Amino acid sequence: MDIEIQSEFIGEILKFTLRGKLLTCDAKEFSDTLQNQLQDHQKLLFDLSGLNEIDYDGLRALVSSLQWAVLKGCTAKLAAIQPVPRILFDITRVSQVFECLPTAQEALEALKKTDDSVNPQ
Amino acid sequence: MNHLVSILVRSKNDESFVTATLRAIFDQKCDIPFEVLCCDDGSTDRTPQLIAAFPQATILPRPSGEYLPGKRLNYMVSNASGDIIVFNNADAIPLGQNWLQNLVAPLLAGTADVTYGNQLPRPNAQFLVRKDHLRAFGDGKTAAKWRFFFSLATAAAWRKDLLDRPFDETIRYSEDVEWARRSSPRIAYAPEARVEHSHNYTLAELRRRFYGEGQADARIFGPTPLWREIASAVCETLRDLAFLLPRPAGWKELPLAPLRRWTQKYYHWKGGRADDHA
Repeated sequence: MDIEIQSEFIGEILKFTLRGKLLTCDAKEFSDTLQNQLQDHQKLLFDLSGLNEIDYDGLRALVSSLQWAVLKGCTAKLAAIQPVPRILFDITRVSQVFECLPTAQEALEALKKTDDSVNPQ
Repeated sequence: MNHLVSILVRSKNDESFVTATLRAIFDQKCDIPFEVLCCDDGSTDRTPQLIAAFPQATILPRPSGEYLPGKRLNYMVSNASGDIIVFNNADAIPLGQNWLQNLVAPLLAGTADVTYGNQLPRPNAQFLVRKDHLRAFGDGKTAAKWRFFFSLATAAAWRKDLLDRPFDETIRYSEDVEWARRSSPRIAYAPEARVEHSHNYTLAELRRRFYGEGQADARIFGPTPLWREIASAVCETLRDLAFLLPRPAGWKELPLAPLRRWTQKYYHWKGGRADDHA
């Protein structure tokens, strides 16, 4: 895969760090990998500072995983979307559907403040 | 995944716009290939000849029988090959080369099932038409509060959804809203998918249109109570005045503004009381 997914727990928050390119060829595997690690009612942080390219199928895989997580009661936040992927996040309205914060640290702080109830934003 | 977009262009007496619309469509820069299907509804002007000047466009023959929007749309969808359908009226001129990309992007990313674009008024649009467009489109915040609002003048949807749940073939107006209410899709407004599209209706045209919309809305949502039409007319008239007063160039519309607004509301209400809610 051109995309590297690293996961770690920071307290109760599960942080995914994505590096590389998320493109059509890896979309399905990415989605499966991600969904295998998700459990109900988790707080999720996606650090996208290392994601430098994404296409529609890649974004669709990320969005479907996020929607799946939200349906399972998870709270998810995206952080540090880089300028090139940002274009696609904006025209597809993903950045309006899911909360996107400028840095991973800010997203971490915001997640710490959320309570344990269901919160799609 | 390989996608194909089918752009469906409906026309009737659109000779002033159709060439610009088709030029702008074929000038689009889009990651996804697209085909264009045109269906004219018995124009009496040069629209068919102007469309024929675009050999890249597929011309669908006009089906027999009375024009009903849902029936025509279903016919065009069934003749399309793409997995994504884009509706664009012949008088809605795409602005810029990214209209198509911006319109279909939310579908491709999975954040919406249906999108509609931003309709900007024409340079000759009346001030109150500009004001109505700002509310209906603009930044999208106002229309986000309206029930099932979207506009097929420029819109995109998955073909599969349109085949599974076709448009109502009996309704004469608001077929888009009726479809949205029945299908409950996730609707996204794509403000960067901009087209130039507006109408300066005469009072007679306003009467006809809003009577028809009143009939359709009564069928979709039930009749609108008189008190609500009156309240809506009062609010809208105040908004009209607030829009026109700071714009001296629009003052010439002031005397007729309340008449136009109350005509809309009255005929919308009257249409909702007609026996035939088609």
